[in-house]
Amino acid sequence: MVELESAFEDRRLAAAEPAPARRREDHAFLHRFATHPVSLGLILPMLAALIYELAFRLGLVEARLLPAPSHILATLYSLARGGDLAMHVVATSLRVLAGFAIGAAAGTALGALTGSLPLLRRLLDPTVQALRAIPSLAWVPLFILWLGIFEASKIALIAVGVFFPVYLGVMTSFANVDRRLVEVGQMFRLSHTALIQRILLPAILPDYLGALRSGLGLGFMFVVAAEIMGASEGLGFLLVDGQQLGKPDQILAAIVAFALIGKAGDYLLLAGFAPLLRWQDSYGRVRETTRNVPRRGRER
Amino acid sequence: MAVFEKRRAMFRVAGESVEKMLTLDRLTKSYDGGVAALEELSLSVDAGEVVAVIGGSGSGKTTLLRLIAGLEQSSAGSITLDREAIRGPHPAIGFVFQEPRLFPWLTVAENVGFGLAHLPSAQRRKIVETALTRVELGAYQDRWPRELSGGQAQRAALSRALAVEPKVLLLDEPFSALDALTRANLHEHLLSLWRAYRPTLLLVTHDVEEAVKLADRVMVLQPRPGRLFAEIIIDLPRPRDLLSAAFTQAKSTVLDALAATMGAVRVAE
Repeated sequence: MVELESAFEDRRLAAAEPAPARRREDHAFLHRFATHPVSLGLILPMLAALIYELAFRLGLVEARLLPAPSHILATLYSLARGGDLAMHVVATSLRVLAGFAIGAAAGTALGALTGSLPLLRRLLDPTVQALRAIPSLAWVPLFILWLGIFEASKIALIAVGVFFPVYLGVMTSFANVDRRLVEVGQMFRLSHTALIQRILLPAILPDYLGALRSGLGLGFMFVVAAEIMGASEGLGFLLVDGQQLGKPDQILAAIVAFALIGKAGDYLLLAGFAPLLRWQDSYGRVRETTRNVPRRGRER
Repeated sequence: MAVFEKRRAMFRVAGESVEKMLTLDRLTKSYDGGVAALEELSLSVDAGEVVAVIGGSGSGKTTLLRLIAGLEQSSAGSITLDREAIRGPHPAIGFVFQEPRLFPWLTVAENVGFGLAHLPSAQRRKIVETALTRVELGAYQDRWPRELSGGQAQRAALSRALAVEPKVLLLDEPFSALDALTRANLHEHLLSLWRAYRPTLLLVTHDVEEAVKLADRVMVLQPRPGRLFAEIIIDLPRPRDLLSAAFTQAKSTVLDALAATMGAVRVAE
């Protein structure tokens, strides 16, 4: 009976393996286009740019305040050729990276504590929630007084922006972790730290990724605020500079650059987490992963 | 196998001189404002013995296991494991739940090795391999839990609980969600694991045949408040013939006791 069941299950699993590639090759190009993570997403912005360019060429829009896509690209190109663009992008990215690292680490640590220890939650969470209610930009004058007008105050502002969504995400998802899995950990007498590391954090990983993504989004929001308020480099500086010199093409070039590095950061975050989330068996995952993902190798 | 049975019989004759592995003394659990889920339950289990606990809903059978596991605190009474008083989860007590409760983010092998994190990885891998081979999951060690069938997942869960070689394994209706064929298969696996590791088994079930098939002793609990109603010794040699007259009679005895706890008279078959 034992053999019978195993043999049956072997066959069942074999049948569940992805079908041979033969059927796919019939529509190889279309399939690759439709499943490639980038191509489909490009259609909408390309189409919008094309329509605007067309409208501009036909003289349907006022060119002075809203330059054509080709004009913006040219500005971007000239900024890139002089090395200015790289400098601004690097400055902004480093600020976001530093602020994100600090804010995410603090948010994760505090969220894990309040999320897993009810006593600590009752003690600390009300205060954190009150601080969260303060619009983060309100901290700017204080940060400048405390930390000066240079990098430290900017990074602090970004860290504050990143902290709250990460904190809130970790805390609330900890509370939603399946109690039954936690009991398994209790049976193995895990310490509180081990419980967090080995059960709670892995269990919330999909939600955690979501929290980090919104944190990173806010990080980009606050880097603009920080750079507009005073910086000699960075994409935010390009914005202000473009406004003062009456160069809408430079402003738009900076905005396009923001969109690109924001998207790139988000993509890196997703790509970094992808190997950790291969165990997921969810609707979104099945829809996205039409490609055959290799099974995780033996690790130990 | 046969030798063990004979030895066991000898010990019985010699006046229960087998070491008591688990002793419950007037164990009571009551929740605020309710009838006691468990009232003054006393029980002692020999090392290596298989005891089934059966009872209708509200008889406190799951509560009993959760108290022994240390997942809940008793209101009164004591639990002693091998002369040691138990207050919380104990390393020598394992638990297999009704659901497999595998960690979805770990492979099958990592799940089975979960309780062995303190061991060097080579040693851990060896133990996990042995444990998986014993439940015929050797080929599935790198799979995700979602890729397993219900029976396979529960076998992996059994394997995870036994890999740390607990002295006592508590099983809370672990086969109730499986179809009859898979359940019978799991029974065989459980018995062969029991022979390999020799843990003391305390199996909560609502399936009379399962209890009689697996256990040396069946404890019948009555509901509201949960109390010990009857204790039936199943003195049948293993492997047990499910169609034998003795087996049917033992089943009938348990069924009668169970029916009596529910205040009903069993209709003659």
